[in-house]
Amino acid sequence: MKTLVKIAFVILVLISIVAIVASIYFYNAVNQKFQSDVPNFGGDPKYHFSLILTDTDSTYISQIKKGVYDAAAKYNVAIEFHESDFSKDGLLNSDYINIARLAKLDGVIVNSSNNEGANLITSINEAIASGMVVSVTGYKDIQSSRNVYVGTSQFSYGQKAAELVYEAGNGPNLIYPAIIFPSSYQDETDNNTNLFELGFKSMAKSFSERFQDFLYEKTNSKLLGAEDITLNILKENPEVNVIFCMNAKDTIAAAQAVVDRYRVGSVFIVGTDVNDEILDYIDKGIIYGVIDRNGYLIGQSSIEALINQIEGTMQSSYKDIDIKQVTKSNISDYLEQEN
Amino acid sequence: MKIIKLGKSFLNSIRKKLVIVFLVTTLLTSMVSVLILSSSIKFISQIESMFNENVSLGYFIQALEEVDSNVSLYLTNDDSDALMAFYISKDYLELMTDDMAAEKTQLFFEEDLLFKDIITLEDAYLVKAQEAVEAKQNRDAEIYISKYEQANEVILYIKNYINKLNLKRFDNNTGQYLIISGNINNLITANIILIIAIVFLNVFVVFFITYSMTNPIIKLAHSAEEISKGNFSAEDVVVTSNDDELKVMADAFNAMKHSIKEYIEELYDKAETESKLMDEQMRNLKMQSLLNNAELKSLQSQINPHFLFNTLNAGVQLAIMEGADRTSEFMEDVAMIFRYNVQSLDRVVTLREEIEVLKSYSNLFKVRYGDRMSFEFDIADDCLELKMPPLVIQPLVENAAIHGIDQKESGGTIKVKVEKIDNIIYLSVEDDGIGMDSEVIKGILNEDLINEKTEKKSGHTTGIGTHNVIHRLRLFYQNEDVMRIESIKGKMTRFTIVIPVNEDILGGKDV
Repeated sequence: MKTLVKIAFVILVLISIVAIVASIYFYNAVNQKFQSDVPNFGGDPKYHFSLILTDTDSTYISQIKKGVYDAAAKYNVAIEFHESDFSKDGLLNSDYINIARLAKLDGVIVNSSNNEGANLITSINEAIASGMVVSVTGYKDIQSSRNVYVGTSQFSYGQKAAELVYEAGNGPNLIYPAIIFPSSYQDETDNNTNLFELGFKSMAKSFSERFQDFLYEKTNSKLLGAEDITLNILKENPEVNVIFCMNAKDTIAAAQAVVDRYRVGSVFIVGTDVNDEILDYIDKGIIYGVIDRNGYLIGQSSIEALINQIEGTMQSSYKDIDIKQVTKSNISDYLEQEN
Repeated sequence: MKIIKLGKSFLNSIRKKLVIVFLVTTLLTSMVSVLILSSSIKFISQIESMFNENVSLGYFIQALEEVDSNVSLYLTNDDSDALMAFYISKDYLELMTDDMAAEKTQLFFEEDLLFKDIITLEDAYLVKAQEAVEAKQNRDAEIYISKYEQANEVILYIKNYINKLNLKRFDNNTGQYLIISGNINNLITANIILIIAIVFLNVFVVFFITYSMTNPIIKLAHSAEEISKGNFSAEDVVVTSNDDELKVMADAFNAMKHSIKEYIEELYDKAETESKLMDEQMRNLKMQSLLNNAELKSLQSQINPHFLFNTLNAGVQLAIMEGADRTSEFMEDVAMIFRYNVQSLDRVVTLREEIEVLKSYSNLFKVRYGDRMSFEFDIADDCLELKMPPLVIQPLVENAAIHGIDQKESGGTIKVKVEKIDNIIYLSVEDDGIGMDSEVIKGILNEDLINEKTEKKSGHTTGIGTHNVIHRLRLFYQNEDVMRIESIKGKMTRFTIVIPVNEDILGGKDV
């Protein structure tokens, strides 16, 4: 009986100790959660910018965003981020720029698209007129008085893409390229699209003896990416042996379609932007190579450009970001540079 | 030493144990309460803060719509009341936004930025609204319509940002709520388990302390009950706890019990010693009384013994001169007996002396009784130095002669025998006279000295009766069973003195 009592006593003491430890642990967990709201800013930021981006799911835009935030932290800049999606909040990029102006922000970084036409240009111009600084990424040729354009040259982008397509199809056979535009791209009247095509074609000319007619396609859905259209190309145009995609999502979707149709080795994928999955596909030889538009640097440079503009530091109104080609042959060098 | 022991025992005292148990229990339950209370306060505070911010934004929208309504009313009706209402509501809105802005002086989160935007947009709205009102006052329809449209556009932006802000806060708070709520639930569960464990532990501790306190007390009570009945040999009360008050009390109780026991034993010893002393004194008194009595009787039986002794010596001289040898011997024996008898009775003599006197005494009887009475002596030599009171054998021989042989016409023989068997000396005086009844024997052995008078009447020469002899022997040898009497009516009577031998009484130290 005494032994039973002793065992019961020891068990109760152990339970008490465990309960005390658990109580302290959960209390700390609660407190840590209360305190876990790490401030985004130091309380008294130097500048207050608005970052307006569309298609934030894409690797490229995510990289821009990360570049912006890292640079903002570095320069003590407060960033309010807006994902421009009219279907969600009924506000366009131009509205966000107007709000930033009315709210007397110091600057705006907008990844513009010209589908808003004159409204966007007006908003940018009014913002500039009110004393704000505006940095535009994406489409260089917006007819606005923006302070600085930070991004890649669409023409150069087209040239680099053509180079990589040629490399991918380098062999005895002729090259039958297919270019898949994302759904957000405009039709042939769009200047950016035209610039890209011009660049692509100009480079293709130098390889004209092997380049055949291009096949232009456009994805139907932002959600599904280029899988459907790739499958369709493979079915309808069996002669196509190089497919070029213009963002990470379409690149991966096209690669998966090629794998699904057992066309690895006969159809080469050349894509745009870099993420871990794409690097893995490159390493495995499913994707030949990609164009890295370097979204992170674009974001970082945008912040620096706005700060320079506010502080009156001399700078060009056009900050070109280098495009890199990443293939299996230079993947290790690329990773080394990025790190 | 006692003080030091109590001082040490305080460290393990019951009071301290109780205080520790109480403090630990209180601390643990307090800790539980504090943890839950603190978490709850923070949780409630966060919810309250969120609620207040939402309410504040709700009031802000109401105020904003009030301004817009008044602007709209004024622009539509050009009513001075509406204009007044506009300015009042505008002032109210400005005051409200000033208060709200005062609460957010620093920017830490993106929500703060949105909030700041809302406040600034409100300023922009009021500017547009003011411009629209002024344009209306200036009758500039185109401008006031444009400004009013711009103001409305700003209101849409504000509402949109308020929605965004609420949504963002809701998202953040929901995420936090789920995690915090989960942790608080876990905390509550752990604390409930802790409380239950503490309750059971307390029950254990209370039972343990109660048992450990009452058990020694019960033992003490039982022991005290035994002691009250006079049983000091009850087992000591054992308390297994450390040096707490109960152990000190039990030890003190045990010590007290032993002290009392020792004290009582001392009292017993002392009483026994005193009793022995009293007995000794009583015996001495009795002895003295007997001696006095014997001496008195001896003196009463003497007629100027010195005169008689001298006279007998003169008689001896005369008998020698006349050539009467038997008479001379007779007179010498008488003189010797007289000389022996007149000496003090409280001296110690040897058996040898007693036998010598007894032989003289027997010679007298031979003369007196002739052939009717004969004596036989069988004395062991190793007993001759036996120490004894004087005039012990002679009265017995006299009794045998007077009451045993003298009453018998044919006479008889008196045998005196001394032998030592197994360290016991048996000194017997036996006659083959008429014997005696058992009642008489019983009376001799047990009756008081009062009967001495009857003995005296029988014609004893010593004046000392058998009782006197027996009492003196008992006192001298401190042995009640000193005399045995055997008798066969008409045949024999034997008195046997039984003396256990030791060094003191057999030629050793003086008694």
